[in-house]
Amino acid sequence: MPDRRALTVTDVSAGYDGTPVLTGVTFTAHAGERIGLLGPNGGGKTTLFRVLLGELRPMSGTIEGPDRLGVVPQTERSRLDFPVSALDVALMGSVGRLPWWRRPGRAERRAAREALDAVGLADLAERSFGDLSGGQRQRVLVARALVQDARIVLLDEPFTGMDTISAERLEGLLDRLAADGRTLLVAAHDVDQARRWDRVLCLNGRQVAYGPPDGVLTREVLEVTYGAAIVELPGGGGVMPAHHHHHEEE
Amino acid sequence: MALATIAHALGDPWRDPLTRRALLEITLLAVASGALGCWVTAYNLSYSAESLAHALLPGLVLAALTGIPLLLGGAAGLLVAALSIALAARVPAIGRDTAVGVVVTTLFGLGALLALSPSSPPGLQGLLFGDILGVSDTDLALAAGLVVVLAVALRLLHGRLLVVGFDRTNASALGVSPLLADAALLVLVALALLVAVQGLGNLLVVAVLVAPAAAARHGSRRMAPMMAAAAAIGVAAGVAGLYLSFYAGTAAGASIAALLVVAYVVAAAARALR
Repeated sequence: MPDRRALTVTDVSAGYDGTPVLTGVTFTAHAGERIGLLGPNGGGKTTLFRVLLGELRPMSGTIEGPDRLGVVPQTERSRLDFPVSALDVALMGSVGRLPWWRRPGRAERRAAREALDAVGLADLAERSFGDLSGGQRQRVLVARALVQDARIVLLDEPFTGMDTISAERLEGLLDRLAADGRTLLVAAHDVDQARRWDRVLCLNGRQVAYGPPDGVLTREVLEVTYGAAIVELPGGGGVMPAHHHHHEEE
Repeated sequence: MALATIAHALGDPWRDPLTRRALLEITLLAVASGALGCWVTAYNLSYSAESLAHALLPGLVLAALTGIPLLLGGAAGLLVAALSIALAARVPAIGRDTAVGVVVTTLFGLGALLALSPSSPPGLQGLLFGDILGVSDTDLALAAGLVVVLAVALRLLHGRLLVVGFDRTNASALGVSPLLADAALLVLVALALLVAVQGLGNLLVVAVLVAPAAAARHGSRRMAPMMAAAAAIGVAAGVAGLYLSFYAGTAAGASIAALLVVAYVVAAAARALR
């Protein structure tokens, strides 16, 4: 049985200016797993991402995994006024791997076009990034992570601000990436969606729970994760955070 | 007959070798500054560029007074400005923005005081307003060198500057250092200012760095075409400014700066009407 461990985090604590904001994080992610990170704003999701990306040194604990992880930031924080096309953004995934004197060449451009094709945006490669819809921009940023050839990709609330169709399309894309062996860590608020993923990590200043959704997404765990601010869905649809129980419209 | 008159009017300014040299200088500076200016505006560094230009004035004036090369004086002025800003920013209760404002105003005032003092030799006003019609062979050679250096540097840095400018927060995760990109860009800006300030003057140099790029930004969706458009706008304003200066008897540098601003207003209006 091959070892499919992609990332092992052991008892990691992290914070700012000597004050921990996240403690006791321990989990193992395997190749091809889709892992949802749930927690309130300020619960430590972004801090954990920063630690995994190497931007923030953990105060304690160890992390075993690849040196470089792919990252898909929230598109709402992108600079829409910056003069770049979708292809330019996808190509950015190749820049860090090249020596400083080399510009992205034909091979890198081909990889970027293939990545845009993989996310269903081949026809919009030359379109200005700022002119794309929110869902399309998010997929361009996923294409950038593909060009990075990252085996582990961190996605920071990728479904925020998307309509249902765009969200379903992106979720289908993430499923395909996981089937390709990539490990995805997705910070999100949608508990209902997290039930469809392989594992869920609940954070609220500390690790509340980690494991398959059936075992983790219980009322008790979600109450601790969201500080009791949860609502029960009608028809036995489960529970979710009170202020995130619907998709925002694009 | 009419055609001959027009041809004569168009060719007349260029019979003077001084105007021809001015045209060459402004063409070189417009190409260099147009391309670099796109990064300056994209990185929101216009105020920093203006501050650097103003802060190097005392160095230029002291160099002119003591007879050392202006380039060296300007470089020393930049160094003093950078150190002063770093020190002022450490003063409690003074933010970085305020520190830059205080230091730059102080240095610029000091430079103007020296340049405009009755005991200073004539010609130092040229450091403030430039003398595009009086460029030397050295100025032209430096401008040509600047074009080459910027062409090579911006070509090599293009991908990294794009990554940091577009997504500074995640640039490190993409393997690109924002610190190095910022430092490289500021060094190039300082170099461009040092060279361009000699022909265009301390007050007008920022116009050729910022205005063409700001105008080009209104119609460009990608960086490379924007750089080409900015260079073309700068050259066109340079040529038109020299015509204006020749026929209206206005100061050449100021005429060019004014037309650069006109180019920006036209580009902004055209975009608003689209």
